[in-house]
Amino acid sequence: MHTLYLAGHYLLRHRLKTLLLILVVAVTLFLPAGLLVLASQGEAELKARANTTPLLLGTKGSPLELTLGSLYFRNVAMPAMPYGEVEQLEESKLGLPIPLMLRYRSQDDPIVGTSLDYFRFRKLTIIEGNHFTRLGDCVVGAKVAKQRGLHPGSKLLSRPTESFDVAGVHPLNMRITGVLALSGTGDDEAIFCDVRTTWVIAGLGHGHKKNVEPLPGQAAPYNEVTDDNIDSFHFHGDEATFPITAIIVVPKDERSTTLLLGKYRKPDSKLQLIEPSSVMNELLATVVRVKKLALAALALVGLCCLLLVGLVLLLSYRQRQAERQFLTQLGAARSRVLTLMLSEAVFVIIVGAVFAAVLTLVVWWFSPLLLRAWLA
Amino acid sequence: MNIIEAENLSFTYPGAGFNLQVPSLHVKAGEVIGVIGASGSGKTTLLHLLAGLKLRQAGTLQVNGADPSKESEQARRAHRLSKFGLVFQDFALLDYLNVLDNITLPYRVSSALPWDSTVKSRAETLAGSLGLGDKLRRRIDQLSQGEKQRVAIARAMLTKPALLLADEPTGNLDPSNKLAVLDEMLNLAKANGSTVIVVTHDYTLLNRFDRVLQAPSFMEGSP
Repeated sequence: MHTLYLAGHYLLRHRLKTLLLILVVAVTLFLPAGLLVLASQGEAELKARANTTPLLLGTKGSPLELTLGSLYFRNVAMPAMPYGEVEQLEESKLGLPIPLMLRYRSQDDPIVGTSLDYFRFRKLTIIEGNHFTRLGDCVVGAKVAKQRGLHPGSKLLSRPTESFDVAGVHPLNMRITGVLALSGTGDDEAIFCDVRTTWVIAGLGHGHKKNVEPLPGQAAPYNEVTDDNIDSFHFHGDEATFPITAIIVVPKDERSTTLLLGKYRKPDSKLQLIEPSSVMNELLATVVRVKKLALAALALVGLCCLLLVGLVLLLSYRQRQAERQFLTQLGAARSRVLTLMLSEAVFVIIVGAVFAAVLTLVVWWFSPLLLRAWLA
Repeated sequence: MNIIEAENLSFTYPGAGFNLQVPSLHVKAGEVIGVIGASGSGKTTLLHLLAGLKLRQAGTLQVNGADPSKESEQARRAHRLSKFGLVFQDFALLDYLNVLDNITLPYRVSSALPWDSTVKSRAETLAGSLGLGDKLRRRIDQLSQGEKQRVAIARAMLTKPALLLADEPTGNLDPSNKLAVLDEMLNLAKANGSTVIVVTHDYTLLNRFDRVLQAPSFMEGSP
């Protein structure tokens, strides 16, 4: 008890040195621990999304970009493929095709053109309002709704694709019909509408009673589907040729998977059918290698820091030689004097470790947020 | 009754040429002894032998009824804490403790001196008698040299020691302070009935002692 009292007074008297040592220990321990937590959480999140998506069809190119764009709504360039592929897959009866059209945004939030099957497939539920049923309607993810204060009945405007659109394709003012429950995935930060609504945004469909006046505070005119003009909305051309960026394919069974993979593996196919889990596993294998390197570097730096902390504590111990000698002469046992001296090191290490643990917990707690910010 | 009895006491530092020889030393309880001599004449070594910090290599030694060389390390420590008071030239105060905590330090470093409710009040009374009553919460670096030595004296006297061993207690004090501090220490010791051995090389202090021993022979001479 008295040893702690004396040690506490010593640490208080040298509070700046103590604080600096604690910070060095805390940061040294926190950096690898925080990185590990963040990397593990990131891996788990990426894997979970990929593992629940059996097959993904897109145009030939980078499987990774197709996966990142279609599953995590990353802003990557995905070439278009014809909507007719959805119809062909439906006719083949090998599985359920869910179209994805990912090209437009509202502010910074991705607009996902899809079908109602997407919500059933991802087990997304509406917490407020209803699903979209009409052209120009949309439902918003939980975080989009919270951040932008959106509710069923609110409107949101798609972002113009060009500053000066000579073709007269204007942003679409969409009616929100529902808000999704929080899912802890990228769906929370997206806006969902029927794939045909994205074709209206693309200018492939239009109505004849257009409202082209700019909204208050907006410079550009816009389109809007209303009860008055919905009958006049129509599409020019064959919908089978209209663009989508990917199709999630949910095969009926293993045989269907094999048949589908075989079909799109043909050299003359302009499309690729990928298994997102394999793509993510490949990516994560690379990430793990990088993570190991980073951890090794951090461990080396950490070791140097801890050696420096050890050196400071050793010098402090030597500096207190006269004090040790005096306490022994006074009548204190050497073991008690040693305990008093070591308590500085023990306190620094314990408090530093506790700080590191708290920081790691904070990182763990906010890891979804940090990962989204990092992956955005 | 003699508190110290030594015959043919001898100590040699390993590898060094110096050899302490004390033919005969008898100190009565309550006596005030001055030990004077040049640097390196063995004055501090004698104090260390008496305090059990060093052990005799030859001869006989009884301090407060015990031979330190026959006691265990633990017993010598307990003896030192409870029966002896030590005062050093450099004060040996801990800069991270305030005045009161420095005075009560002997009760905090070992369980041989149990902390009880009277320790603090006794320390405050002792500090008050040395003019430190209003400085109990001060840090050591806020005190003058004379005040620091008074704190060290209060710490040594708090345990009411049978034997007070002071090694150059006025060595770091200015002339105006040294006599005052020495007198305060001797007065406290006298009031407590403590035997005092003061090592010094300051001849102006000799009239404060009952007897003076001359190092390195440790033969008796009058002040």
